[in-house]
Amino acid sequence: MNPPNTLSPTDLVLCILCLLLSPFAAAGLALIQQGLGRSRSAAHTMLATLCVLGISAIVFVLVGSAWTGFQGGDSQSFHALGAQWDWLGREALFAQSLHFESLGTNPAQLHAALETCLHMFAVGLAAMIPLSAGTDRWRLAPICMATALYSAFTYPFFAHWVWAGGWLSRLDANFGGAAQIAPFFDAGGASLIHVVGGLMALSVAWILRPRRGKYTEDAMATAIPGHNIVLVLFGCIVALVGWIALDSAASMLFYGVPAAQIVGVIINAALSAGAGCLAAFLTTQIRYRKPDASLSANGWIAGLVAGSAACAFVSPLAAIFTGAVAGVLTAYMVEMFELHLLVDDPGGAISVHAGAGLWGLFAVGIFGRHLASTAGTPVNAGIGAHLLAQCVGIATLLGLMLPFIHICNLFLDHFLPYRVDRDGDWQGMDIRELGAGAYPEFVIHADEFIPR
Amino acid sequence: MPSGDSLKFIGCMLLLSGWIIVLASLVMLSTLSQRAAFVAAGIALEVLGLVFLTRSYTAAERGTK
Repeated sequence: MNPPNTLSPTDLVLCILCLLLSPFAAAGLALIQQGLGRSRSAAHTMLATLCVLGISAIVFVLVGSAWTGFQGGDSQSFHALGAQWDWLGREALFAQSLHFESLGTNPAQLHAALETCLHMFAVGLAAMIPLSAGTDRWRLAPICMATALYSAFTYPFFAHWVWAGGWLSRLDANFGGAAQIAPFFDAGGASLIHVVGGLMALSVAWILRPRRGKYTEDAMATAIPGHNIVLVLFGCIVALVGWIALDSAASMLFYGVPAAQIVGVIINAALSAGAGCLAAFLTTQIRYRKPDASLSANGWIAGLVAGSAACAFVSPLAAIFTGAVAGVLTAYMVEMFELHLLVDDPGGAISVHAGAGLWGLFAVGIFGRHLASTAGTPVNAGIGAHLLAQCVGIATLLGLMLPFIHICNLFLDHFLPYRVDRDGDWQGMDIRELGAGAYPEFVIHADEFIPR
Repeated sequence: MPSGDSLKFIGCMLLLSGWIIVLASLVMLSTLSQRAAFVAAGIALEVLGLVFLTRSYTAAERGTK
């Protein structure tokens, strides 16, 4: 097991500052999600966001952090077929491995505490993503249960494999050296936060089925526009701050990026987001003759998601290209899911997080330069070895995590139905579950055109 | 045409099978090109599984209309 990367005093100050700013990513995403939903479910979406953040933090720190483990910490592993399979962390439950009184004197303890703090925010962000796909029909109780399940089991598995010395981060050591395969690389959490969250959103959207009135009798999609596009666009700017902070903190903690190199993370994140937004803007301008604000916002976030896989390990030009492709991809994927696959995803979470995240992971293999391992040491591998490792990670996300997530959701839905009843669907989640609307002084238009 | 539940099951199995092929390529093969071919095949199988899984829900949705 590799020892944790050591942080200089400057690195430590910057890392803590980044961790302090990380919740802005969740704040931005929350604004986007509730703005893209209907006004009758706005308060419900925001309350669900708070519940998700609270539950994910508590469950992760008490349970999930034990399975996730830390760099240099204990882990469960077995030898089979000539390789060591490090598959799960082995720390004490209920955060008993963390001793806050020794943080000032024990660097390993300090690193473990910083990792836990980062994971705590990351798991909250990841668990928020499905809310976007379930807007207007996902009940609060199953949201809380799904979040608990996700924070305790789903997230910790993949987080250990990528960031805590698990088998994906040690592909080179186990399977013939870096010349044959590089370690799987994800500096900002595109895989374990966004793709896993996006796949959860897909599973939730499948189980919940579309909102009433979304599709006509002959399965034609009708437009249900978001209720506040200003909040959505403002949320994009707020999210940028949090994204940069999260990417920076993860790069420093898990890949040994020094404080001076963080400026590269900032530049690349802004370029990637901007390119994603402009690409979606131009795509919608060409296709619909007018730019679509919500899809452009989705393009911005898609650029951030795709760019977070590489952070400062690619050139600015590569970051722009990665973001631009993510923006175009998102515009087409949102349409494909809505029109052809009949998946009602009001916030476009599946396309933005899963689609762009998978592209971002692949792009690291193409454009990544001077990539480091989780031990902070440079990996001297060719483009083929890097691409192969990224493809193994992508295959694991689709082939193992998606079925696992979907079976967990189906199981939970069986005992605690996800979807609100027919009346709730018509009334809106605010009235149905909270008893009051988000905007009581404004007239909320009902769906008079939808038969009750 | 298999029913919705069968399609779901087949889809999940194909996803898992694709992943196992990818893992097997790492364990059993040694050169980059051989591994790349098998990893591509594994991912192709996963895409097929995804298509089956998606079709199960799309067909169910069309059926309710």
